[in-house]
Amino acid sequence: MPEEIAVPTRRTMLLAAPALLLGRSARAQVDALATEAAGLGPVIWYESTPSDLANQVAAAFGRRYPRIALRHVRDSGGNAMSARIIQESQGGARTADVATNSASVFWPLAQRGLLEGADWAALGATPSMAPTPYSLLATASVFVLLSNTKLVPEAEAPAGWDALLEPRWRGRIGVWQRTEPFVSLAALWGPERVADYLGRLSAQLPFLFPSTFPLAQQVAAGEVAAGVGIYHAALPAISRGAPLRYLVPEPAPISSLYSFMPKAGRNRPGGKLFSLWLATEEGALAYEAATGRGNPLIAATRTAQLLAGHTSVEQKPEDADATLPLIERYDAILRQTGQAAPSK
Amino acid sequence: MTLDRAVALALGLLLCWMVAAPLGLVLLSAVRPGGFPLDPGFTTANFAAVYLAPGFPELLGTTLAFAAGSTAVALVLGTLLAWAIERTDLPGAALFRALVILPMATPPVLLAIGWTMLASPRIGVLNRVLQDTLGLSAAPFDVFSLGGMVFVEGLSLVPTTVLMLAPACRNMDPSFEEAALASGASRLRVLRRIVLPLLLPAIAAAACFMMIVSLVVFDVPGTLGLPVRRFVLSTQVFHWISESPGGVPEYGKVGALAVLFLAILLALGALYRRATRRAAAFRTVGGKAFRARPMPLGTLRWPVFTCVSAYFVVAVVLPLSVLVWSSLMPYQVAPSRAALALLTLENHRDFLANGQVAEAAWNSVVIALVAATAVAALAGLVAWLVVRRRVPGGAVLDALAFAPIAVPGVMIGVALIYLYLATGPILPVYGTIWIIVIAYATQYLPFGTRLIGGSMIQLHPELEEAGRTSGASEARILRRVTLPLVAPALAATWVWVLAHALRELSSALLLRSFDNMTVPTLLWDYWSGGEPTRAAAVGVWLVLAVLGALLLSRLVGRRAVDA
Repeated sequence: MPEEIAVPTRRTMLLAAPALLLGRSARAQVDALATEAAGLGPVIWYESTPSDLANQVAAAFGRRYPRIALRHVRDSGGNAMSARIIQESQGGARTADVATNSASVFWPLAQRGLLEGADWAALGATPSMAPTPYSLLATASVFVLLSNTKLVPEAEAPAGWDALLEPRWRGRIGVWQRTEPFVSLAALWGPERVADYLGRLSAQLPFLFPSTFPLAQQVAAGEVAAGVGIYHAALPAISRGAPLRYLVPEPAPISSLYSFMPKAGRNRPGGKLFSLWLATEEGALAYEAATGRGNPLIAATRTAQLLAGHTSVEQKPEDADATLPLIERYDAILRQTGQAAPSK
Repeated sequence: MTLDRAVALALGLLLCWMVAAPLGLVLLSAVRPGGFPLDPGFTTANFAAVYLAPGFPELLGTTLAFAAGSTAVALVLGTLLAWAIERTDLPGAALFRALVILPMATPPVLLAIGWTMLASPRIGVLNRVLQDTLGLSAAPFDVFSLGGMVFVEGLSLVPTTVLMLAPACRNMDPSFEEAALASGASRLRVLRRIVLPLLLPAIAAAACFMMIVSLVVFDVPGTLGLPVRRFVLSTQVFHWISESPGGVPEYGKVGALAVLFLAILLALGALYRRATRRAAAFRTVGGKAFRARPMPLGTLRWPVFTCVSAYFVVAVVLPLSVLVWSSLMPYQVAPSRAALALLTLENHRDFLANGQVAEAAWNSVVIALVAATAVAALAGLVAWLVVRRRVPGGAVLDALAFAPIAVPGVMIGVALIYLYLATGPILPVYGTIWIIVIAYATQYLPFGTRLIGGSMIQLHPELEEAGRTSGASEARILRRVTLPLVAPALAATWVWVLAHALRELSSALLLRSFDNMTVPTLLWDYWSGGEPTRAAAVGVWLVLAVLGALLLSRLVGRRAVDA
């Protein structure tokens, strides 16, 4: 069943955002967590943002909980985080107390029995914020259509998925080599429709990029005129004046990132507390200010505003087992269809 | 037990710990269903998944074509450059010698991006200039083609080739060439019939090294091949490690593929030994005194100078200019007159104001100095025992020291994590700069043994025999005879490892923690955070740092010689 995240309303925000303000019982538990965490040393946080930016989040957390130090270790992307947590857990070493990543990363760890579950509802989180006992929504990547403002007049910029299949974009567009946006689309369109779409998109001979950051930069540089990118990955170039625009397509695929706590962490109460804080409006805004990536369920975030009026879609994290073959299938379509892009 | 054997045994044990144990873990992962060495169970499914995959033959074919082409480009250009710089009266040879190493300091991914700025059919400035100037309808260069990939990778390997061949060139007795010239041979014939055959051990060593490096390298195929679906084995390895759909790296498949790389490495090693088995034929440094005299190029002097200069413009000036250009731009934009209005020093200011720079720079310098010294010492010892002392089991020592090159650096890092987590109470290096030093020393040992071994083959045994006849101990002979003669090779190894350690990224990323950040990881933070122009600024400072280290080492070396 496709999961559509409804446009956030004030009511859902009140339920989801201020988890730490809900109910006396929840507050008491949070206070107890803070007291326990303060005596267990720094909280180690694995996450993919450059450390100088993530340290801004740590500073904001420190203002809320001055007795607890948060130390960020940057994950080098892809599957490196899961590998590191598995190795450190198997090797009996200290690993992260809390980590932030997508369902495709935390789910295999949960299956290996390496993650600690939590009763998030008792701590005030709604089911949409905490879809599994192992995860609490922290933020989300929003897939957007990018185009170069110098090469593509505004009226001609691709505004929807079908536009990318027009002949004029053949050999002129770029996509991430991971088919994540299309896997998310399959939650609404169904697997076969997306497979068919992806086949036709591959026939357009898009450039494949190992990450969405260079993709955005190459659209800005004019190497490709347009592409399927990620909103926050385009922000660094846009903020520095690059000729780059983004449009949120309809439907809008997103990829949620969750906080989760490895069992081999030594300050798991601190990890849980930080996860909860990230899910509050204060935490979400601090995180978004540092990274450009926000929580779509917290109305005050730019990300929620970006998605307002759009149908945001993604796979359920607990359906990860069924999603993995889909990723494999779509990756193969994107990698194998067509020959090398034309040279001009 | 003789001293030789005792040293060989101790070295063998050290190499077993440094190389065999990590390799064993890599191979163990190949037979684990979960792909991690400590996972339960055994399987052969990883081998089947790799070698019986429908696209594997085509992937292997493209990879071999890429590796062979890159090796050929590097060998041809590198040999000619090393010969011209070291053996002839080429004008400006000292400057060329200093400049040749500069591209090595730049992270390859930045060089590859630089080449897209230069030779992309769409935005490449070279294409635009040529099209505008010559009125061409189509772009003459396509950096995304297989030829483009081979060209860029080949160019990136030329500095290493020159470093590997330069000591051998320097050690050649000029009387061979002089005799041939006096007998009426042309300079080209001298090069073909005298120089190249005498350089065979060094060229064969360089060829083996470049071939394996080209098989496992990711930066150029990842930047230039992947966008247009031109896959090689290393892009497949990247997919398994970073992008596998399961959310967990498929180390089992990487381990299974490493078996193929190891087999190719062993085959190349056997070919190398076969090519150099008549060691006596390559001994150019004997007891007869000679003074290194440059061969006069005569009328070819300025044409050769023009060719060498053209190489430096293409391989050094153009990519480094693009690097500098990028570092002065607010975002990625190809060089053009219109973009001059965007020039800014913000990236450099930002880099220098970054609070992490001092710590990262200190870590990088310590790591590079220790790793370079360790590799030079270990590789020198291995080469001495294998080539000069011919100790029993020398082939095993040689194979152990060469083997790490066949395993992607990330997998060595994975294995080291397990080793040093297990030995944490005794050797608490996990999470420190020292595990990075160990990773680099393991990764770069093959280069050192190839280079120094190739140089030692050139030494005639009569030199050491003369020492023995005079009553000198083996240690004294090593110190007074052998070491000074292989000093250029040791120095080249040291410089090469220093430059590579300063820019190395993949292992540093895998092994990073709070207190062991390096300059390349800082660079990567910018790059992966969508700020390639800030990454370029770090690249510029890295090049300057290597240039400074190079000048300093030359200064120290010259003072030592004077003393």
